[in-house]
Amino acid sequence: MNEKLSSLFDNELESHEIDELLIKSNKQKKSNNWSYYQLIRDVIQKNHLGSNNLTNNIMDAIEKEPTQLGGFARPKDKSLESKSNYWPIAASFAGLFVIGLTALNLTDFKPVDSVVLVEANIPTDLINDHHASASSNVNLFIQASYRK
Amino acid sequence: MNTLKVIATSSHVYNVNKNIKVEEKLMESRPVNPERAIDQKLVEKAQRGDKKAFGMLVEKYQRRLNRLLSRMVRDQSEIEDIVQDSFIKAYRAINNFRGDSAFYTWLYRIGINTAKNHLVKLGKRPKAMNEVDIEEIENFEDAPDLRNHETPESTMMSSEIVASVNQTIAALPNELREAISLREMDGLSYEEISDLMNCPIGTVRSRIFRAREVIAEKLKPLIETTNKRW
Repeated sequence: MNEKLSSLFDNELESHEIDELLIKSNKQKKSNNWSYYQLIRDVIQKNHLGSNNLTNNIMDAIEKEPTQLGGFARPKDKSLESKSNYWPIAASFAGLFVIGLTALNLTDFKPVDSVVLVEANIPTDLINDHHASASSNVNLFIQASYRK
Repeated sequence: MNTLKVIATSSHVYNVNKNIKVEEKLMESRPVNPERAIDQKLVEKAQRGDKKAFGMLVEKYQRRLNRLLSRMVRDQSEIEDIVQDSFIKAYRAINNFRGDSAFYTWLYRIGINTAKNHLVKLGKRPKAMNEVDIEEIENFEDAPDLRNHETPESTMMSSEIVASVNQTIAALPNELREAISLREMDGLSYEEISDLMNCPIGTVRSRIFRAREVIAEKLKPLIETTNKRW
């Protein structure tokens, strides 16, 4: 694995090999020699070596940061955005429809035949007398139908 | 006559197809900066929550960023704080990095802006930097100013490391020494080294790796057992 890491360090690894290597590297608990390769390069190229604590300090600070899980940030799709503007309107209509349907179900009652039932238990003569003496428009109608 | 037309037409189609294939081949073989491609892979890993991949980028660029910023800020401890802040900012914003530029260019911009803000806070006027300045700084050879701000202990430690690396390289077998020198000093690719050394690329890969391992093993006791700072 370290030979591949050395090739990665030299930018001499194929794309699929990089993926494999990084997966293996993550599984491995032992730290790899990546930092040594960098140090060796800096010495050979006579670069300033800086501080050995700096990398550790940076990584300690990064460890305290919440893990990034966002993936690539892509520009917003304007067409999708404009389409999604209709959703609140559609949702409002759907809500109104449901409320209307519920209201209709609640007011849909069966015809009550309690009057008929009461009428059935009263003798016909009494009913006729009642209708004859009632002073209303209904009374006239009932009287007419009774005469028939 | 009709036959001739057919032949002419099919020949034209053949040529068109051939041209398209040639263009496609050219597109495939267009040189892609391998360093940038590898950095992009590491960034993608970091964007998926792999902190180790980000750590590899930290290892790779912290010294270069340090050297870059030494042109703007003189105090070494201040530079280290700015480098640390820059990497933290880069990590927090890693999901905004889409690969439109190289990772190090993006990181360097963060570093320069962090340094400018730092200098403004201290009431110092930051030096204006443009694209050309950044390019110039990326290619500069060394930062002699930095040496003046090193402590005696860090200077001694650096000298010990340099001596150890040089001695180990000198003691390497010829083929390993030649391979690592061609790679690190001359910056040649594995293919170029294989041509020069007249051996397969796999052998070059193996020789460079073995040379590095030998040197790393020599350095480990110096760095890990002594809790020294350089």
